[in-house]
Amino acid sequence: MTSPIRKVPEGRDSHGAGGWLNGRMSRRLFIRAAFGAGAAAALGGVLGGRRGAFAAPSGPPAAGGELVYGLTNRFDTLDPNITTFSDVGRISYHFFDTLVWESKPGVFVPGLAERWEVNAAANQYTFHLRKDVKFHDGTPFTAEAVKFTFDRVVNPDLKSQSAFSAIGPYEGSTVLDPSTIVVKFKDPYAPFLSSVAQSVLAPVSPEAVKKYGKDFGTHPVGTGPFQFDSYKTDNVVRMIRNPDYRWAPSIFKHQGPPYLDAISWRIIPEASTRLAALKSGEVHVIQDVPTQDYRNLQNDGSIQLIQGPLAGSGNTMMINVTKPPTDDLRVRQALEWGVDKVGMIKAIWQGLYAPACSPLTSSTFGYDRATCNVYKYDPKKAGALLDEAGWKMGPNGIREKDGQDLVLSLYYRSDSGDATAMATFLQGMYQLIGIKIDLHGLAQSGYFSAVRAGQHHLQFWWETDTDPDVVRILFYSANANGGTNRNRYKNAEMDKLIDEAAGTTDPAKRRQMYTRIQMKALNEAIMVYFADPLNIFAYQKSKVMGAMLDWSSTNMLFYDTWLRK
Amino acid sequence: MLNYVQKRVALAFPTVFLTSLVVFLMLFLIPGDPASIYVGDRTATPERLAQIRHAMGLDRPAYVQYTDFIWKALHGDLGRSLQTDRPVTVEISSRWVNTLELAMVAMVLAIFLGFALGLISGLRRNSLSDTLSMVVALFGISVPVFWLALLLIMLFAVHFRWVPATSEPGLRGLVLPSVSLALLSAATLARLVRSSILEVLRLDYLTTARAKGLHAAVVILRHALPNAIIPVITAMGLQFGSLLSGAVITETVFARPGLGKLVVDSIQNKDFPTVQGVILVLALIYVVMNFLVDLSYAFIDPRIRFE
Repeated sequence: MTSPIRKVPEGRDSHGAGGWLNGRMSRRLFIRAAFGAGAAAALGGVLGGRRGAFAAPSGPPAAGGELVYGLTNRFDTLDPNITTFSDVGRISYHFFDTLVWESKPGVFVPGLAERWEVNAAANQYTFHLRKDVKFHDGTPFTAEAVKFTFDRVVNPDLKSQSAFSAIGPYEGSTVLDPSTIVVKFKDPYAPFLSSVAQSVLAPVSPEAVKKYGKDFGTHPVGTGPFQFDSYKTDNVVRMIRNPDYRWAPSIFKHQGPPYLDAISWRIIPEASTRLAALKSGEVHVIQDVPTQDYRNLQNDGSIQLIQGPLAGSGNTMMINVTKPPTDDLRVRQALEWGVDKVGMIKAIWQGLYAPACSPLTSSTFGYDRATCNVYKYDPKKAGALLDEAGWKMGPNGIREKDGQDLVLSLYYRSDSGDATAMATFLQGMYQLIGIKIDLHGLAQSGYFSAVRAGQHHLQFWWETDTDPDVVRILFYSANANGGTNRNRYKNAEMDKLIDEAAGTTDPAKRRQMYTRIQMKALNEAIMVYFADPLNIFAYQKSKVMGAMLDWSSTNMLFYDTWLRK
Repeated sequence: MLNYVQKRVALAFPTVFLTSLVVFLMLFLIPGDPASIYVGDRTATPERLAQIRHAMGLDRPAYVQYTDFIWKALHGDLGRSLQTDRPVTVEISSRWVNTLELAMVAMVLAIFLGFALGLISGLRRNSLSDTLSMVVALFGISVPVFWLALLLIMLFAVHFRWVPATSEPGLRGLVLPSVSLALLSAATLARLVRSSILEVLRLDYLTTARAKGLHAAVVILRHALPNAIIPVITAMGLQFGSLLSGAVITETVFARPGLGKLVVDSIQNKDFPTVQGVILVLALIYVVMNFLVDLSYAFIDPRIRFE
């Protein structure tokens, strides 16, 4: 019963848990250009069967009705090739089909491409496309359209972000015939299949792009099960059934047009209002249910909760390893021993999340359970390490060395998720071992400037990605100077490990490589790992049938969904 | 009178212009690079950032960006949003009605409530109804809009299901947002009306009017109120401004796509053209409202003449 689509990777730092509530989509491994090839393949069915879920359907599906979905954020554009917002991805999977669908990590099933070949060097992909597909505007879906889409993404004038990262070291495409296209890369680019499984690289109708120009973002035209009806700015996106839809991928349960007449995606930024709208029946499904409301909803017989852990990297804290005193390994290790994760999870997330052990969340391929034995909560040990490093307890409860107080600056986005709660919790926590934490809560504009420039000792992070190559974002030296590696950690051995792991095809070997990477990161205390967060959705139990959460627990897919009258 | 109107209209231009200049300068002072915010947490090479900055037109000097903005604005073009790449005029036109509607309805509600409470307590000083009215007013002033809004949603949308929780089009969707927005202003007005009335009631001419045997209602409506109302009207003009700014929270809670929400989101993203455009429009609305308030003095009190 898995519903297996690779989620759109999304990542952002400093938001802490609930950061995804604020919804920018992620950097995709932009730097992937740099690494040696490997097999996209073979993440093996680690996650299979764990997540996706269906509501127990009652009776046969009935066609008709309009589903109303409560989104969290306003967004920039409905153009999947341009957007920077993850909420658009949630919508896009209904407007647009992808070339392939990822059924579990590294396992791909046909989408708009019936089959495909990858050369040995992994820098050339040949896709054989379905011939029976039409865009919503009636134009046929062809290899030209795919080439048009990819060329469009790399055009700087488009200011594409997520898609631009996902397409990696793209060199160009050659159309062999109307249903065959060869995509070439400047460097080996094994993750490309998982990239084209994302909505950000979904083919758009070239005719519609020409027709609407810059307004394509408010008139999206794809090949998906639903087509565009209307968009009221910052309010609601409405889509209606595509009656011609005959090309559903095998991850779904039925074929032909979807059951629902229409879906309305309503933007309701305030979590309490979203919940109220669900309870009052104004919307059928909501996303980003706060953990604070979880127990309350669990006891509500009319509401079904559905959730799953994120793959990638959980709620963590990056430590600037170049700035004294966190350039001292013992100080960083004291930060590891000095935090009570269970207490933090109870205090901030109602005990719902699982404590994190490594840069990878427990549901990510390559995660090693042994990482949980490396650090435990032990303030005495933390204190001993600080003593050893020469930081002696001062009269006011703050440690000193050479007349300097042990003060670390923690930068976080005050406008974002649980970051403020996390920051104040840590301030209290580290006070106990004699570390003073200076809090710098900033709005995003100032925040990005400060942390890119490396003003911080500490800053939060979390990252969604189904590929363990997510460690490249965190630890790769090319990302260290103002990039995503705000640990500012540069280590040739780590770089080599990351490149090798990404180029390894054998799952067992690959797993070993990632174990080594995780252990190295832990031993050098580059980051502190707090919790593996959950994505929580809720819907009206008696009304919404066949609700489907993709295996990555990021997107709900409504192609198989119907409403009980 | 006509002269006065012309003067005021002429003065409105520099006001709006200066506002936009100040806002533009302030945006430059806020730390952060719009391209960097656009890229967010993704890794981007300095070249890529430069590319994006160029595509956004941010590599030009500030004064060029500003004069370009003004020049285009005079031709009815407010540029394109850095974030959505849609024309700012479109961004604004799809939202301003939502904000104005909300502020207007809230204003009417505030005036109605404010005068009712203020009159009741002013005319029956130290009575039970006076105390009750002022308790309501005090509540309205002290309670946070955000909390009140959620309370109203829980009660009237979730429990009774009389009105929607979110701001759907039409009057039904306006009920909760406008009530929660109006309460603060209503409370402020009520207290003002009360003290104004008390002030006026002490004056001799009212005693004379009563002594002449005029009906109490006539005394209050014809003689007391017009004199008590001038300071209240000035306050109303100011209240409209606070309603516009209060709309930010209300719009967020009730998921109402308005200018308030837009301007906050745009400032966060350093979306220069959008912030400029919205502030320009809000400044215009404000100027017009103040002007109308000033003009209304003359209609209420014939002794006031505009030179």
